[in-house]
Amino acid sequence: MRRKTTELLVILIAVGAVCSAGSREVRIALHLDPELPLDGTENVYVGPILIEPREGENVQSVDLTAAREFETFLRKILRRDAELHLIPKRDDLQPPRNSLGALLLDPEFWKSIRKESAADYVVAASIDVKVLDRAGYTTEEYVSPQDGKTYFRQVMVEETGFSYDILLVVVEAETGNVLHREQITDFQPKNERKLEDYTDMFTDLYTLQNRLIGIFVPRAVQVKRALYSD
Amino acid sequence: MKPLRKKKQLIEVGATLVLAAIFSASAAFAGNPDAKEASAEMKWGFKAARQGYWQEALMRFEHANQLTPNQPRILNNVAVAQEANGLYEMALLTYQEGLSLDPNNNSLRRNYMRYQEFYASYIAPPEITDEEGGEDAQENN
Repeated sequence: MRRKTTELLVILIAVGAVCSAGSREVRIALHLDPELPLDGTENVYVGPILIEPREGENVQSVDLTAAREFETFLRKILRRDAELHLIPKRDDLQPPRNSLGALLLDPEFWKSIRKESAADYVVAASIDVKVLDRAGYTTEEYVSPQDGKTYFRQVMVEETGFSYDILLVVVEAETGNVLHREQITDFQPKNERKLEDYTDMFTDLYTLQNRLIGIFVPRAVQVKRALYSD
Repeated sequence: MKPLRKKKQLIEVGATLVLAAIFSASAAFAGNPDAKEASAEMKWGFKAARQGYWQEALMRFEHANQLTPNQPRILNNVAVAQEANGLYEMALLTYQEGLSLDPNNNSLRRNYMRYQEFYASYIAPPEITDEEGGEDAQENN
């Protein structure tokens, strides 16, 4: 027993001597500057959140719910995580058009928001949600480990959830200029049985949340790198 | 009697290995005091990095690089420290410099791949240009 321990110790010392010259993994927090240089004193108005379904598709109830849920989610993120001063929503500020693209060509609309609400910036978006409820078989190629030949096999594929396509813009209210434009696509997987449940549609969408916050405030990304110790 | 001899032999082999490593390192530094100082700087830099003092780490690694230039190991550490200090463009050049010297350095290659992934995702994501975005928006009208 003692002999084995000694052997192990000797091997460990030898290995240790070799390894000490190697590299080791370290964790780094990489800092990212925000897309917009805000100082936190600005007044921000959220809206309008428009529904723009894909070409050839009509507005459905899921779109209406998604637009409302997204506005709630956006307000929460901007207030809680970005700590911005949000101006309460005003019902009298209705957009003259239902297309974000057309609104962006109309600086007067954004100026009117500033006039009515004293906003410095306006965060607006257009949203399209698609309910994915697909299940079926697809043919997949694979190489057999036994004989190395290529075969085809059928694989069951299930894809259920909400697919989001969001265009978010930040407009300078004084001029109507678009300061930032962010196209975000994300997918919220949902159990088939819960596809009818439209509550908390944007909960746990980390990609979306991360990118939204990154527009307004600095953030850090944790990464791993190999570093030589000597 | 036999196990005892074997044990002694093993200890001797191990001790020889360790001593050889120490002597070879000492011999390498003996004719080159800069290499010795660079090694010490690398150690200090590594310690600083482990504690999160990345500015100091960068300074140490850069000093090591000045003392013994063109060392892929040192350039790897410089690049990582540059990343940690937010000097992303400089890190890219340093990684490329290191890889041009030693394209087979695994740590350097892995770090460079990870860096590229990070850079593409966060610093310069494949963006929709204003013109393209504008056209898209107009097409949707």
